[in-house]
Amino acid sequence: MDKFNRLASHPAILFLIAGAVLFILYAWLNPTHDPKTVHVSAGRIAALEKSFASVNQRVPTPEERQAFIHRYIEEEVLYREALALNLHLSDEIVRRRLVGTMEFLNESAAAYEDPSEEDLRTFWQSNRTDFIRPARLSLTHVYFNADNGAEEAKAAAEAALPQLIDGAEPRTLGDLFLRGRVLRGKNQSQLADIFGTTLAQELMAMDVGPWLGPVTSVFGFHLVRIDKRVEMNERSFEDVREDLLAAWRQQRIKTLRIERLNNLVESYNVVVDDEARLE
Amino acid sequence: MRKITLSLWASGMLALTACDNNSTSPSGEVADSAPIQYTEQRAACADNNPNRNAYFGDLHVHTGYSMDAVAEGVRTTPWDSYAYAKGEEIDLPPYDEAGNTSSRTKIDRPLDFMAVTDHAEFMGANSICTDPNAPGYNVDTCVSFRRGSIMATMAFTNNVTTRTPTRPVDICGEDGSACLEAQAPVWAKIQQAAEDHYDRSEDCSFTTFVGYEYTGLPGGSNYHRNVIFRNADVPAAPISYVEAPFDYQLWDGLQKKCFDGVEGCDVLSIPHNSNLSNGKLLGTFYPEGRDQAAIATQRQIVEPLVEIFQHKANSECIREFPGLIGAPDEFCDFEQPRRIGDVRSIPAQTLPNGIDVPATTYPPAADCGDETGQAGMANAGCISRNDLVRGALLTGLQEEQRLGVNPLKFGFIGSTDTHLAIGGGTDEKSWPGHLGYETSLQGRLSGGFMPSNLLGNPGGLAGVWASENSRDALFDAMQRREAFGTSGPRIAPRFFGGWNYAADTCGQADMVEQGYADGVPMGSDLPPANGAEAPTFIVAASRDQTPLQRLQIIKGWISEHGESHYKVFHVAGDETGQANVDLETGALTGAGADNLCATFTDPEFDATQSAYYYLRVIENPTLRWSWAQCVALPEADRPAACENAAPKVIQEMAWTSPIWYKPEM
Repeated sequence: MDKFNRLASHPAILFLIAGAVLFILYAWLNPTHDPKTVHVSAGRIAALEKSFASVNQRVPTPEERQAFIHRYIEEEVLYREALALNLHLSDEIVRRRLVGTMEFLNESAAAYEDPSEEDLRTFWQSNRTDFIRPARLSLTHVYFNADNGAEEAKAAAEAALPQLIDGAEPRTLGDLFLRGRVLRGKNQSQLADIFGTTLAQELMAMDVGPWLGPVTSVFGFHLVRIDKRVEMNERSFEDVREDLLAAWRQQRIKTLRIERLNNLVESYNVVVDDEARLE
Repeated sequence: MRKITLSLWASGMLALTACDNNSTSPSGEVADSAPIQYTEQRAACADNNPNRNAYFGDLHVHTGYSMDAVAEGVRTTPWDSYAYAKGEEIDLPPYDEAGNTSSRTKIDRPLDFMAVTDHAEFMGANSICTDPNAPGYNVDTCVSFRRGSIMATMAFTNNVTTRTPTRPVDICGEDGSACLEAQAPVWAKIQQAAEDHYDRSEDCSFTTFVGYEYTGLPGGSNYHRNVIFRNADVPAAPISYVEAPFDYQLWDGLQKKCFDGVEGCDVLSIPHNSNLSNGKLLGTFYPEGRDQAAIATQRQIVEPLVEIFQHKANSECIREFPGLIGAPDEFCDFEQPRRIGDVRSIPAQTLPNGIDVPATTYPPAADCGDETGQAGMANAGCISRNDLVRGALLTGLQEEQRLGVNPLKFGFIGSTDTHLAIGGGTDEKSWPGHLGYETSLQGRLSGGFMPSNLLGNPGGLAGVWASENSRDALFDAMQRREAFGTSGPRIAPRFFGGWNYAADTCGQADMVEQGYADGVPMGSDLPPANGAEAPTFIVAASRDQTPLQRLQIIKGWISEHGESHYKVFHVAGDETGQANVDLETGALTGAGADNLCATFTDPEFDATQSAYYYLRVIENPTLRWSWAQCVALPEADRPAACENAAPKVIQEMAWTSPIWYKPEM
């Protein structure tokens, strides 16, 4: 694959591909027309009119109509002259646009496929670590708002701790915390969204069972009891089948893009003067 | 395909549900849960909370399946887009000749939920024009389209600028059948991507919705809605503006093809960018010979939410609007490029991708009155009071007096409308733009003839108070309007209304329980007064990364002469706006709050007047993207367009769904 990547990025090869694409496009765009006849069809004029109307929100005046038809003719003539001069074979912007379009076509054609059971299992074996479930916590916390002074809030929290340890009902103590008092099944990233990254990290390390704290967040102080901790664990094949399918498809789109390009390149007789690059 | 997938799920998930043992605390306290009636096969969520959690998402996301994204070089798919929302890095255009992109992007914090909403009208045409094996690949419109840019997009959108829309005839055939055929596999892929990324395990880590955007441009006005389905039971094809060029036809179509057509199907239609609609989007239109009350009822059921904020500006309000009586509200200027009397001139310009746009000058923006106008998508034409959500809610109250039912009973969400497949990427400092050609800073800061570029912003988020992160729980919450919009940050606002809340309820640890027990949450109607004199509201919010400045209640009501009124009440925090931000460093100065909370009893309550109340939460000042991204660069490296007229400082916001009061008969 590395060898291919080096090949694929070689300007000469890209040039060849671009040339081929252009040749085909040129043939499509100019089926049997006399190169010296510019035919402005009624359909073309209607399209130009629509385009004008959608920008200006009104129909063109006869003069404006004449002007954009004339502009279209000029554009068409210049376009053909450019082709006659082979500008499309040397102009960098044209080349990039064509190559880019072709790459996209290869990709989008590959977007939907199903793997065999065996393929999926093989994929599972080589990507198992991607399907680990992060550790999750369920917790209850009592919050002490620090907006009216950190010292007071901390003292209130310290005073409430023995009451909680003695079995006081959490909802009767502390202040309102809008993102919830009882949080269940949250992973570290979800806890960080609620409490900030620092406290989320501390929570993940706390023991299950006892009331602990006070700990601090951007909001103030919290007394926390970790009610349940589910350790990081690996999920079974059946458990992650749908996720695997999604990941497989994503990878498949990328692989097919490269494979198709590879096949195309192989159908060419490629001569590269710099031998060292082919090693 | 979907049926097979689901049956596999059925066996796997039943096993999982069986071993879900809930969380039991060491002291023996079992947290109550609020059981959800699932309409699909899935494990019960471990995060269930009867007091409801705040979840943040984006219900307006375009990928490479939208023609206006493809035309600007976007190649990412719905799969990529969901991966982005979950925290993975994805590509941004442009791509180089080897198909590699020089820039990739990653969300600052993962989202809880998302829907991909690609444009329905051109799914088939887009597919044909990008598939060389398709018979229509080489027709004129496809050739124009593949030249790229805004003009390429217009080659398609030209077909939906009237009330007799078509699909591009040269691509789709006279009857559109070629495109409808080509659309089927695209619609299947959109469903498959949502299925692949939905977490049906008890972790409930991420929820997806199948959806699409309904996109009409009658007279150049915005007439757009996102259609979001409850679960995987969806119609065989999207109902687009081509099939249904009037809103009531869309609702009829959804009735027929979803509610009546597919077992288990349920759907919402969420209008957006009323600010660009010249009165068309949230106006009321009743066809001859139809029962108006029946249409109003249908609308209230299918459209419980409106998108109040997104990339293409703010739809809440305009500072001074004729016919809406109330003191000037300076916060209406936030990300609001429209104003009565403005002359909109688009200079002749060359877009960053090399396309010339001709100069156009529109007449000064006037009040549409009872009419509608045109050219809203160019940020031009008349402005209707129904373009502002604040005004449309008042029209709803008037319609309710006339018909007995309120057709414009909207709760709020925000979203992005990204055309780079990056749902929820709302960070001001790292926002890479709305469209493909905006991925360079110079590109974002210059030109543009829609409210994009310098007039655009990183968009908002949809907030939902739901008992858990499953499709059914979120969808139920959206249907009951227990939702809020933000301009990007994850502010968590609570809003309850009732008649008997104690003055000291605020800030008590069990305030939320009291809120639900003795009143109603955001999005509801006040219960009967039972002799009480005036309603009391509990308003509260907790901050995200920036401290909060103030809470306000906005009240709208209809007086006895039928006039529309609004009033902004300051209810908590700093009314004088002392805090500031350093223009060079972005450092915040002055006080702000982590939490704000208050109870508010309406001092001007009149039991004979219909009214609505909603909460607006306002952050301390921060730097707007267009300055934050410039000042982050050494002065010598700043693009010329960093010198511009856009405000350098903003105050981000959240808006809760309203609570309504209706006089007793």
